[in-house]
Amino acid sequence: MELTKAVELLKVLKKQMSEYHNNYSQLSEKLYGQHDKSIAEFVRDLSTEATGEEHKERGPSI
Amino acid sequence: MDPTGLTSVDYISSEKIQQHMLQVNNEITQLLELAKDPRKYGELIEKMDPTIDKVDQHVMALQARLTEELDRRTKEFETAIKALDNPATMFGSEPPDFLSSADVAKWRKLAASRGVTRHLTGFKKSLIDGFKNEMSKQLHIEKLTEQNITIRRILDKIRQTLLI
Repeated sequence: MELTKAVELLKVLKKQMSEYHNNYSQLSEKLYGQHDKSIAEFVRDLSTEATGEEHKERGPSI
Repeated sequence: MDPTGLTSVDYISSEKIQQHMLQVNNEITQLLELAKDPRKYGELIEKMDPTIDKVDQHVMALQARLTEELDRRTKEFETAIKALDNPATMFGSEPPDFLSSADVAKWRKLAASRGVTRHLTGFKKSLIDGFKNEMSKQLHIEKLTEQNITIRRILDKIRQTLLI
């Protein structure tokens, strides 16, 4: 009985891990892909992400 | 180095992250395969504990690397606005070019008026909070952290169920 319950939990775990890995992969692409960028570039990219367009004027809204 | 054997540098390489994720997913799949055959229940129980530990270490390592990278960025941001730490260094200083026009205006006003320390501290705090908030929002960090907690709860439930 306990084993059946554990196996059901494993199925839930597998689904959760799959979603978690997808989200982490997207994040790592964004975050670690910018690892070598300066803080100024990083902040500007965050802002671009927020507005969906390139800022023409100085600075993002943080 | 963390217990998974991965270093911070490995988490910058998406290929290494993908490999490790695949390995962890495969181990969970293997357990589910064993569960299909009652003759393999012994093997399933034997492998459950080390796999649960491995998944636990894996998600903790991912979270730790994420926190590390976010802290690094926050420190860089703080360094870029360090003129705000002292009215003397602030006086006549130029704002960093990544600030919003509204924040640039506030900076210039404080820089011109020999702003008192508590005003500088308040402004610095608002800039840092804004930066962290934007980073969390744009990178969907809260969602990831919640998922991390959910996964660790599931692992605990499995441990409790099997008393391992």
